[in-house]
Amino acid sequence: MERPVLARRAWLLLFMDAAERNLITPIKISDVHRLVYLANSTAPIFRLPVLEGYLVKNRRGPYFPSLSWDIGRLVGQGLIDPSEIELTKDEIGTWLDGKIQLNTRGMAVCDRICEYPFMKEVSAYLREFMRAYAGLNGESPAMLSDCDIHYDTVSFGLPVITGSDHNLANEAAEALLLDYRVPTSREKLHRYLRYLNYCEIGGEDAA
Amino acid sequence: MINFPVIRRLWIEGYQVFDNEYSSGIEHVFDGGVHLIIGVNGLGKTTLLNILYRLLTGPKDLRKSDKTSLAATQHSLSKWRSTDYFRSRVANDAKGSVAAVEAQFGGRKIYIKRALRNLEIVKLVVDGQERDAGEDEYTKAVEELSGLSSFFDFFALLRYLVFFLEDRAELIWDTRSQFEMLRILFYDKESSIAASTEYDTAQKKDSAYRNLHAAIKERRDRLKLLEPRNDGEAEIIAQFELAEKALEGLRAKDDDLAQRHEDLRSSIDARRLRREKLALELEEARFNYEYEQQGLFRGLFPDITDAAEYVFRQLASGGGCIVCGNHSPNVGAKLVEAVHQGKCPVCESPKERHENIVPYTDVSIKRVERLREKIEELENDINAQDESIIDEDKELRELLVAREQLIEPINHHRRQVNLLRRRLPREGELQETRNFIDLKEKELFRFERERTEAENNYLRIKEQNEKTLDDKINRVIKSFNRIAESLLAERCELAKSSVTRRIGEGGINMEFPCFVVQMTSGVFSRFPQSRENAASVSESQREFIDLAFRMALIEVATENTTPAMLVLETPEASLDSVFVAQASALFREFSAGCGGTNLFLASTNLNQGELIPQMLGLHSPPTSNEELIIPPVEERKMRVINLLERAAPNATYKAHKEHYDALFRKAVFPDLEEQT
Repeated sequence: MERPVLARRAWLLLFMDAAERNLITPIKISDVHRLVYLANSTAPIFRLPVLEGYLVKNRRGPYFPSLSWDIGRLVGQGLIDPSEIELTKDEIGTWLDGKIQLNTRGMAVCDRICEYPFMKEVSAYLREFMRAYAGLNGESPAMLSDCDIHYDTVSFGLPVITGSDHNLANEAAEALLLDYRVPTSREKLHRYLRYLNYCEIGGEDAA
Repeated sequence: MINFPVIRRLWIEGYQVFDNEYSSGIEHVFDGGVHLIIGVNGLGKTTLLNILYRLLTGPKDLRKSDKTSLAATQHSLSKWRSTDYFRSRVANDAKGSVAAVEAQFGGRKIYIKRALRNLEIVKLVVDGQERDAGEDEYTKAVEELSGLSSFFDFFALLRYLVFFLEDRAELIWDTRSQFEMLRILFYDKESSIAASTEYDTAQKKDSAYRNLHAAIKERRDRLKLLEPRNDGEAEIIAQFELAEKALEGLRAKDDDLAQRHEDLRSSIDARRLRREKLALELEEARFNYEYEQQGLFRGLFPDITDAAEYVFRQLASGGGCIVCGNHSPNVGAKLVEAVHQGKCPVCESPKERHENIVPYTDVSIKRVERLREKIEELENDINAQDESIIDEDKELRELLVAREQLIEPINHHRRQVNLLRRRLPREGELQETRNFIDLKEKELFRFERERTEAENNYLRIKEQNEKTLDDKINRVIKSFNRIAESLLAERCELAKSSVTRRIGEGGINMEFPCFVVQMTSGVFSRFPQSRENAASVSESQREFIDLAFRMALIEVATENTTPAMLVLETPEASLDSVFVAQASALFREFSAGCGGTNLFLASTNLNQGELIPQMLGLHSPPTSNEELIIPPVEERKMRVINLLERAAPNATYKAHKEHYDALFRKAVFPDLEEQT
């Protein structure tokens, strides 16, 4: 049941690094969950495995309890800095939010991580992902993740599975590109996120 | 005694081969003697001879298998395969072309007219009485007039005795054909009919026997495959059932495992979902718990850094220590207890000892405790789910291993079952095969019995006619030896012999009388040596040996009391120039037989040779001492069908007309030529 801890945290650090490089920093913890979800969901477009492919659809959007712990650990290890940590109460319940940001120690660790070829590949993908997200004019990722093909088609309280065997992101991205040539992975990723953005803006009409 | 057919008159009308600006058609009277058809290549000599042949045979032919050996199969004819023979030679498809002959059979006459397009009978008259113009009627008439036992015999007579055409159908070299001809010529009609009937029956039964025997053998071979298995059939069935049961058992086990696999899978999925929900709930419960306590730390550490606050919150809410990574919920228990008791969370000093006299934020202990309990409950639930998931996952993996281990035994048993299934006989096949064999063997015995009966009947007829036949055979030998002298330089004789053979491929072995050719040669010059087959003599010798044999048979068969006919196509092709005179004298002698009523008809090419004058008796043979009587010119004209005048002229004739005309005159009318 437990994913390899180090791999998960390394992935998270690279994710924070990609956000930092695209000036999406500091980043809200709730947005981290949503973007981590999206980045996992679209990883097969770049032929990368899905690290976290199972979660329960809840009213606050994609949320990974284990991610919450990993963020805490990276804070405890002094690799990312939290800010504006606050517990809030709303109609759903009590929730913790705040912002986090990669610090210099964290950046140094990212450089070490990228010495591994596979992690370098993951880093390249996450940077592309963040670049694509950044190109959406800073829109909140809340509706983006909700429009994702896997999340959107499941009812609340039921599992959202984006594991490699069940992942449809690549097919969805290819369907959006009706060229008579083979699109690149980069084209597919950008096109897919832009499509999710259109869904967010215009709802069904935009789709 | 049989009556040979002798053509006395011929009419051909409307046939373009014999149509030119001076004459249309052919009409010729064949009285006794030598008659010649004279022409050059391509003028229609062969066609004319074939017209004569087909007028008598009709559109019938020997079966393919009978062409090399007479009556090799049955005494029956098949349809002539080249029915377009005559119409293909003309431009108008032989429309309106007819030919007719009047033929003599002893003292009786037949007139038959046929359309050359398809040989259909146009008119049939027997002894002046018109009959139905059909093949059946013609066949009946021919049998009646000839005295032969069947139309097959008549056809054989024409092909092997009377007509010696381009295809040179030979009799002498095949002992079966020889004996058939002896039967045709020398058995009385009743015996001849009976012999050929019994012969055909024996052949038919033999053929049926062999076919059925082959079919039975095939079944017996199959039975051999089935029977040994049948002895151990019970064992095979037992083995098969056992293997099937074992396979079934394994499959059932696999099905159970598969079902359990599905159940476990569903359970794990359900647990996982529940666990994740519990985890979310726990998060929320912790946040709630934190929320309740956040006032305390704000009071204690008003300016704590976010990171430190984050650490304390996690600890206080039972979320573990993010500093060292200890995820245990009890790790913050002391801190929590201190908070609840109002002690300092850092040094645990009691409230009374604190400097800060401002009360802490009022925390509802009860609410916190309730939240704490809820958190504990959730954590316990999550742990329980995790443990169950681990156990079920372990079981799932064991199931997968177990199923994997079943694959090979299942495959092995499946193969076993298939193998055994193939070895089992089809339901009822064994009995069916045995029944078939029993039934067919009875039929086989019947065929054998009937064949043997027919063979015995045939043998009896043969024995009855043996003495007569023997006498005839001796006479044929004598005739042959005399005739051969005129045709061959080497000393050529027939010797009597016998051959043992069966009628069919199986059955009784019988002895048949036959002739063997014996001849001297350059190597064996003193005494004639036996020549077993046609290959042992030269081409020309072969033809004349057969011709001599035919003539000998005709001579003995007719005994000079009934006319006979011999039709020969281009004898000069094989005749040595030295023998032209002798052969011609022989042919004239033949035609002089039966009071001069025999007919010798030959087709010949115009050449510089002596054949035509010799044949017409215009020169005497060197060895002859007889006075030469030259036939009158008119008689010679009546003895010759001059195709130079009768046929449609071809390019050869047109190009060399004068030359050929001169040759003709020189050959037929040398005396007139000398005079001029």
